[in-house]
Amino acid sequence: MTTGLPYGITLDTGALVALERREKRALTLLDAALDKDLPITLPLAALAEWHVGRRHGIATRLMSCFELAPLTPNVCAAVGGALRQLGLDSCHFVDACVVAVAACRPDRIDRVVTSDPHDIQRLAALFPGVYVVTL
Amino acid sequence: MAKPRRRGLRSEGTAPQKVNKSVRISVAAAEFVQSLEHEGGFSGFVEAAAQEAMRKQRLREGLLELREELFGTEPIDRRAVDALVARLDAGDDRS
Repeated sequence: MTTGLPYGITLDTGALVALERREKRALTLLDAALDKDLPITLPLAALAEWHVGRRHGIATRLMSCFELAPLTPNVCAAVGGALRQLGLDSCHFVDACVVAVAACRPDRIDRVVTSDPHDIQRLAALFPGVYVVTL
Repeated sequence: MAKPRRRGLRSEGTAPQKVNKSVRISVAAAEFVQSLEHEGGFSGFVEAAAQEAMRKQRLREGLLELREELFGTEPIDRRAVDALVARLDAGDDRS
């Protein structure tokens, strides 16, 4: 059960890839955000991982329509703490960043929208109020 | 023999609470005014709110442009959107 408080959407790398591939589920996400006026946040760690695939076509556009979330000291502390607590290595760094960004916002707690919820679910369980929704 | 007037006693008992409450409100109001002055006064407060509204509007326009660039004029699948919004509202995952 949720608190009914305002929320936004935080994307992971897989959700970005779904957008780039013009998948129907990504269109549904965009329409849901526009319909309900939900802000979408893109953690810069996820953007960096997305660039690993040498995808530059819509990079500029992404900068202008998402709130970009940097690694603040609070997010860094949350990332490190979560990985340590679950005994995960740095392979899970970006997933941990995505969840920590959703949890550490000053004004709301976001839903994490992902195409692969397996590891993110475990990480999100450490942060009360962070919910994961599979795209 | 006349009974002591109880009204005065009652008000003595309740007065401190009233004073405390009004003091709290005054302090909160003073802090609010102080914060406004710190951020450039009331006009600064209004300006910050206007900038935030403009930022959100720019993001929304960016999102609309992204939709058009990636999906053209693809119509909204209302049923799919409503289902996703319901899952987002519930914080519920289908997995």
